Formats: sequence, structure tokens, C-alpha cells
Amino acid sequence: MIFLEAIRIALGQIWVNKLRTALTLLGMMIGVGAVVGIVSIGEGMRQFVIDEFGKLGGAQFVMITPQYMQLKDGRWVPNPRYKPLTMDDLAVVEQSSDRLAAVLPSMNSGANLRYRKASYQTSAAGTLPEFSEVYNWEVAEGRFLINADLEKLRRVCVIGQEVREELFGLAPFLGREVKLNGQRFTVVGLMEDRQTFGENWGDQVLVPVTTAQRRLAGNKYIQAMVAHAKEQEDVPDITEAIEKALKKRHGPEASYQIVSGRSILEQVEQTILLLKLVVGGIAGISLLVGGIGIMNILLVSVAERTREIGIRKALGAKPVTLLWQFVIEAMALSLTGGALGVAAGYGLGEGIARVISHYSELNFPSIVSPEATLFVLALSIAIGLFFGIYPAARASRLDPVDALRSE
Amino acid sequence: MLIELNGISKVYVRGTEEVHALRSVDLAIDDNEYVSLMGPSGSGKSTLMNILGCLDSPTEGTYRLNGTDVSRMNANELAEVRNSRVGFIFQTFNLLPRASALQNVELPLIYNGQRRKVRRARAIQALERVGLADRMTHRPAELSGGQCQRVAIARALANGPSLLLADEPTGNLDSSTGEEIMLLFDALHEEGNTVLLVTHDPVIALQAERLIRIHDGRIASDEQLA
Repeated sequence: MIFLEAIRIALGQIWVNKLRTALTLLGMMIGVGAVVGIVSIGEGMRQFVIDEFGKLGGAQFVMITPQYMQLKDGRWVPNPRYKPLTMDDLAVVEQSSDRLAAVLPSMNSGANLRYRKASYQTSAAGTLPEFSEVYNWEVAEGRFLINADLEKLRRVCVIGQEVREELFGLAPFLGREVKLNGQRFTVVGLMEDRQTFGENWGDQVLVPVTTAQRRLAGNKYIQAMVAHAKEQEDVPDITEAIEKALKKRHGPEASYQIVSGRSILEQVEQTILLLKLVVGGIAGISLLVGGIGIMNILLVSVAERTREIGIRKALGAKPVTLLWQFVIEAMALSLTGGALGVAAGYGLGEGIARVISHYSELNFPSIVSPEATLFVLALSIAIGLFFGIYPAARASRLDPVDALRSE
Repeated sequence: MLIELNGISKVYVRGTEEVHALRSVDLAIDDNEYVSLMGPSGSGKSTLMNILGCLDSPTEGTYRLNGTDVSRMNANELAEVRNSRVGFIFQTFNLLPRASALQNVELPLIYNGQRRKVRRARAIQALERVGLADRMTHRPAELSGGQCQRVAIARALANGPSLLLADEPTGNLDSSTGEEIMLLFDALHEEGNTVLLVTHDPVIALQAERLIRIHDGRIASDEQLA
């Protein structure tokens, strides 16, 4: 009963001094807004990385590269145990675990493309028919590479949107022959438009890996391979299995670098979390400033209303009742400021995300989770309680005789 | 006996100096008495009134109100006594300026934990008693001095106190309004209320049935009038 009355009195008081209240709320709002804005950008960044990673095959990939160089006494020197990878190694890795979706070779070489008078400089990637499915990247026209292309070492290629534009413009391209490093290749397909991390995939030229080895590289090696797990949880087991299989084949001395997307993602997430904590912590200081503003305004309020406090005491208000009245006033201020701050922070995050999206041409989100919102609101109330308790205690301890005498 | 003071002393420390505001005061006031307390400023009458109203505690001595020793009570217990046993009426009215007459009268009922309906009804009843039924939604600034003092009296009556304690109730009013207020006190006394008037105006003081003069922290005289 008295509690409800205290809320009513507190709200009334807040309403009476509108300008003063507005300025105090502004202080609180800026603090909360800064924190919410930064956290929402951080959360957006995390989501962005996860999404883009998903397009690259997600955190399910494990990359295996031979260690060509090694670090010795602080310098990079050729690795004496270097052993290049071949398609046979790929077959071995494929057999190492039944929880693998696919293993793709990585086999890139510089490519000079010519069609009539147009030319285009890019790199050609030798790959397998599974590539399209693994990267979830479909052909827009024509067909993707098929097993027969690999078996027969066909000189065929599938091209990206940019390659098509540069070489053919609007002219028909399917079935046309282009010159790739001087050799004739037939265009059999066009990939759909795609970007990840702001990078355009349109400059790609995909050829059968076997053709790339024979015609472009002139050897039987592949530069690296990328194994894709069916489930992200299997990645550590698969990594181990691959390492074991390769050691078994090449001896315990063989050294390969095996990096999983999961470990990269974990590192990125940790970095972003750290960033959120550090920058959010700095923004949190402004929350403190907001709290001090509340304390200041309450001290003024208590001083101004000394006589009123005296009257209330004479009429039977207990110290604890007055304590609550002022604490509630502080909490009402801080919670209102906090709620406005959440709205402002949401706007700020959204604004920053749009600016980033606009200038980087990335689809960068800003995310305010309900948990974060609740946390910030609870924090606001706590700040009101913390900074309100001292002025409130002062009000509750006033001597009624002195308080009544004050002007 | 409503009020029993035994050897009440009050000592203030002002700087390095001790001020003896009250020196061993003994006083007894019965139910339904009508008492004036007179004395020059600095005589200790304000201190005595504060102690009688439980706004202040004595340094020495015992104070029994309705048989309960209130002289050693803590702040919370004193607040309860002020709320339910004492009705204060001040020279400057001491109304909350932003609250309506009705809300002002409701205040002691709120601190008494009354439900909204009950306190509204009792506040209206008190305002009707002082003749302000038609001014309930007005704020103090919209009321005359006499009307403000009536609101204050209604507020003092709200919880049905044992003692009405009025400190110079006509001090801020012109003489005709002051007389109206005094008539109201007479009527309240007739209805069975115990009234204690603190004043330095002899004309006002003589309206009571008993006159106590205080001087230098001691009771100088105590006489029945009329």
C-alpha cells in the first residue's frame, strides 16, 4: 500500500521537474545507449562471421596443407620433410573417416583467358564435381563439372559471372571455346552470382582437377585439400583421423598443417567477445556517469524538499518509507533512462550497421538480443538503487524538527 | 490521564555551549482538556510542544501518552505515535503545495496503511467537518489562508488522534479569520477532542479552559480559567 504510494509520489516528482528530469534521463540514456549500441554491433559482427563462414562450407571444414616451409631459429626455412600432396592422398583422407561429407582438392594456377579480342587475368581452380554441393554454389546456366570430365581429362570449364561479362559481354557463351593459358577449353556452365566477406566469387574459372594437373600445372600434385565434416561436432575427431591416416601413409615424420574451420571460428568468436567486453566496458563508464547524475539530482531534490520531508515525518512517515520513496524515484529515473537508452542503442547499432553495409557493400546486421535488453534494464535498476540509496538515506535520517524549520 | 510528564529535561549542544531548553518539567493533562501553552520566545515552549508531539525526545525524564512510555521510543515507533495519536496544526499550515486538499488530508491515512477507499471516505468526512466539502480538489495556492488552516485541521483529525496540537494556529491569519478558526477549535473541544494551543497571544490563550505559562524552561504558572 505504502509502496504503491511511494511509486506514485516518485513518478509525480519526476513529472514536476520536467527539464531536470529530461537532462538526468539523457545522461542515463547516453550511457545505456552506448553500451547497447556497441554490444549490438559486436553481436552483429559475430553473426556476420558465422553466416559468411556458413557460405564457405561453415565451421565443418578441415584444411590440410603440406608444410613447405618451417620456422627454425626464428627464420622461415624450407622444410626438409616436406611432402607434396597428391590425389592418392586425397583418396586416403576420404577413407579416414565415415563422417566426412567430401574432400576437395585445392589446386589453383594463374590463368590468362582469351576469347576473340577480349582477355581476362584470373586464377583457375582444379576441383571435383562435389565442389558445387559443398559450397552450396549452383550453376546458373549450363552444367557443373561431372565425373566423366575428370576421367577423360576433358578441357572444359565453368566460369563465374564476372568472367562471363569480361569475355562475352551479352553474347552467347555456352559451348564456346576460350583459350586458357593458350590451350582451348570449352565453357560448359556459368555459376550463379555470389559474395562472401564482401568478396566476389565471379572471377572464378573451375576446371576438372585432373585436367588442371596435366594441362595447367604439369605435375600430379595438389596444393592442399579441404575435408568437410557432416557435422560440426565431428571436426576434432575427423582432424585426428586425418592426421593418423596421413602419418600411416607417409610415416611419422611427415608434417602437414591441419587447420579446422571450427578452430578459426572459435578464435574469431573469442576475439569479438573480447572486443565487446573491452569497448562495452569503456562505454559502461558512461553508465557510471549517468548514475552519478541521478545521485546528484536526488541530493538536490532532498535538499529542496527538506520541509516536505519534515511534513511527511510529522504526519507519521517512517524512515524506511521515505527511504523507499527516494530510492524508487532514483530507480524510476534510471529505468526510464535505461529503456530510452535501449531504444537509442538499438537505433545507434542499426545506424552503424547500415553505414558499414553501405560503404563495404556487405550485409552487416546489428543484433539486440532479448537477453541483452533484459540485462541492461536490470543493470539500470541496479544503478538507480546504488546511486539512489545515499540521498534516500539522507532524507530518511533527517530530524523532523529541523526539517520542519527549514525553508 | 492522557499526558504525564515527569522530570522532563532537554539539553541542546549549540557549538560549545549547552542550552537547557527544558528543566525538569512535570505536567499532567487529562482527556478532553482544552489547554493553552504560553511563553515568550526562547522559553522552551516550542521544545515542549515538539516533545509532546513526539517530534523530539527528551534528554531526561519520562513521557507517558495514554499510559505508554514514549520517551524512549525509536524513530519508527515515534512515527507511528505521531501518525495515529497526534494531530499537528502549524502556524504556516505545512500543506504539500502540489497536492489537492483531499490528497493532503489523505496523507496521514496513507502512512497509517489505510486502503484507498477507506482513506478517501475518511478524508472527505474530515473535510466536511471543517466546512470544506466544496474545496476538495483545490490546491493550497488556490485556497485562502483560513481555508488552508481548515485543510490542515482536517488533516490533523483524519486518523482520530488523542491530542490536537496547534502551534500558533492563527499566527498567519487576519483577526476575523483567526476567530473563525478559534471557533472551530472550541467546537472540536466540545466534541470531545483534547486540544493544546501553543501561542503568545493572550486573547487566543484565554479561550482555553486551562492556561500554562512557561518561562526559562520551567512551568511558571498553571491555572484553570473560567
